[in-house]
Amino acid sequence: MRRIGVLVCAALALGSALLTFPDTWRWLSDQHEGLTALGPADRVQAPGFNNRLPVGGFDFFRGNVRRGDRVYVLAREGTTVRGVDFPTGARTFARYYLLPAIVVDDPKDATVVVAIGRDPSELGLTYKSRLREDDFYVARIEDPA
Amino acid sequence: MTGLLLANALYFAIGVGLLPLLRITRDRAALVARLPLAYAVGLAATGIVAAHLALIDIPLGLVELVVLAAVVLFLGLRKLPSGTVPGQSPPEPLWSRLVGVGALVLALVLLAHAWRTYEIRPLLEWDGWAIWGTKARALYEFGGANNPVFTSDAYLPLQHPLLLPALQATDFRAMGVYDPTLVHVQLLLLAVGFLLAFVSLLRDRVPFVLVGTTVLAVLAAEPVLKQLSTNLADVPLALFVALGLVGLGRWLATAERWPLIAGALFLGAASLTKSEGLFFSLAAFLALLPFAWRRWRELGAAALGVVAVVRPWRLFVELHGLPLVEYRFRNAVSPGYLSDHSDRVRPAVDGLLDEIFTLEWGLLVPLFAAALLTAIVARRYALAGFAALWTLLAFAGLVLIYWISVIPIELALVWSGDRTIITLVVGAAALAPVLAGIGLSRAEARGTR
Repeated sequence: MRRIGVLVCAALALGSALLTFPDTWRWLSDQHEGLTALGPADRVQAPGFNNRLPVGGFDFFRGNVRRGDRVYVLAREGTTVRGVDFPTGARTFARYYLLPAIVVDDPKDATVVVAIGRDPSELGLTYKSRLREDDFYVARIEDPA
Repeated sequence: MTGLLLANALYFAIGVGLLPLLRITRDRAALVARLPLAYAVGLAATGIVAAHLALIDIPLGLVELVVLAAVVLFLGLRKLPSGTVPGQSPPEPLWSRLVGVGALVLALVLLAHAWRTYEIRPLLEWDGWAIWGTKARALYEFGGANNPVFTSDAYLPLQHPLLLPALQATDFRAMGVYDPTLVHVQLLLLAVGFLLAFVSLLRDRVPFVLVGTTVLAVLAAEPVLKQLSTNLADVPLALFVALGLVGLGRWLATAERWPLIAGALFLGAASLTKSEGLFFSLAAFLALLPFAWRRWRELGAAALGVVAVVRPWRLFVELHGLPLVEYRFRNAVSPGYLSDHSDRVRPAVDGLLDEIFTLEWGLLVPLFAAALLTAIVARRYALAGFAALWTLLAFAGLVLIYWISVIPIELALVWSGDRTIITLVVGAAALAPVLAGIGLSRAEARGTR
C-alpha cells in the first residue's frame, strides 16, 4: 500500500514538474534574451531605469558626493511606477545608489543637498558651493568629516 | 566571478569541516556519503557567522574565510575514524531509480539554464535593491551594521535580519567589488545547495524516484526561480525552512540524531534570513512536540540552538530600538485589537489560499496531500501529525500577521501575498518524500509486500 503511495507521489511530483518546467524554462530564456544587450553600466543603472527614475541625474549626484557625506534629497512632486510618490522614490533610490554616502531625513543634518526639479535655495540653507546640470542640483553645505 | 566561486568553495570547505564538528557525521565513510550536504551546511553556518560579526562591525572577507575554513577543517577532520558507510539507498526497481536520477539531472539542467540568466540579471525589483541590495552594499562599504543604514528611520524598514546581505557582502569582499549582477549567482548557488542537501538528507531512506522528482517539482515551480531572481529573501527563507523540516522529519521517523542537528542549523539560518523565519522554525518545533515529547531533551536543545542563533540579532534590535512598522506583536494577543480588526481575517484567508492554489505551483499541494494520506494509511501518525500541524500553524501564523498588519489588507496581499506563502508551499512539498517514503522496508520498496 505504501509503495503505491510512493508511486502516486512520484507521479504527482513528475506531473507537477511537467506542468511548470516549460513555463519556468521559457521565462528564464525570455529574461536572458532581454538582458543580454545590457552593458555593465546599464546593469548598475537598471534599478533606476526600471522604476523610471532619472538615473542620469543620480549619476551627476554620485559624481559629486563622497564617503562620509550626509545627503538630503529634495525632489519635485510626482509619482513613480510603483505608485509611491516621486520624492519617496527618489530618496529610496538615493539610499541605494549614493552609498557610501548616507541619506538623511532632515536638511539640517546634511552636508550636501541634492535636488531634482527644485532649487536647493528653497531650504534657506547657506551653501559653500552649488553645481547644476539641467534640473539637477548639488549644493554643498560642508565637506564630510 | 573567480572571487565569488572561491568564496563558495570555501563555504563548502567550512561545511566539510562542520559535518564532523557538529556530529552530523561521525566517521570518514559517513562524511563521504553526506558530502553533498556540506555546501548548504557551510553556507548556512558562514551566513550566521557573517551576520553576527556584522553586528560588531567585523567584516568577513576572503582571508578570514580561508582562515576559518582551515581551522574548521583541521578541527573537524583530525582523528576522524574511518567507519563504515552509514546506510544504503532503499532497494527499488531499476526503472524507478532511473526516473529519480533523470529528474535530478533535469533539475540540474534547469539550474544551469537559470545560471545563464542570473549571471547577467541586474537588480530590477523594488525591494530587491531598495531593501536587500542596499543592506548588502552597506555591509560591504561599512564592514558592519552600526551605521544609519541599519539604525536610522531614513532607511526603514529596519527589522530584517542580516544573513542574506551579510553573505552577499562577504562575496563582494571576495570579489573585491560591489557587483549588483553576480549577486544573483550566489542566490542560484543557494538553490544548488538546496538540491544537494535535500538529496543527501533523504537518499538513504527514501526511494530515489521520490527524492528526485520532488526536488525537480519544487525547483521547476515558477515562483521559485522567478522570486529567487528578485534578490528578495523569501525563497532563500523557504529553502532553509524546507531543509530544516526535512531534517526534523527524518529525526522524528528514525532514531538518528544528526538530521535534527542539520535541521536545527538550517532553521537557525532561516531565522536569520527573515523575521518570519523564527516563526516558521518555532512552528516546526511546536508541531514536533506532541509527537516527540519522549525525546524532549534533544528537541529542546535543538530549539534552544535556533533561539541562540537569533539572540544576537534580537539584542541589536532592542539596543537600537529598531521599529517594526508593519505590525505590533502585542496586538496578536490583544482580544480587543483582534476583534476590532476581525474583518481582515476572511480576505487574508481567501487571498493566501488563492496564492497557494494557483497552477504556478504545479501540483505541489496535491503532492503534499497525497503524501500525508500515504503516511496516515501507513500508520505513520507521528509524521503525518507533525507535517499537518506545521502546515496549519504556518498558515494560521501568516493569517495572524495579515490580521494585525496596519497596511490595508488588499494592499498587503498584493504586495506580499505571493511571497509569504512560498515557505509554506515549498516546506510542505519538501516534507512529501519524508511522509510517503521514509522508512519503507526493503520488502515494501521492492514491491514484494
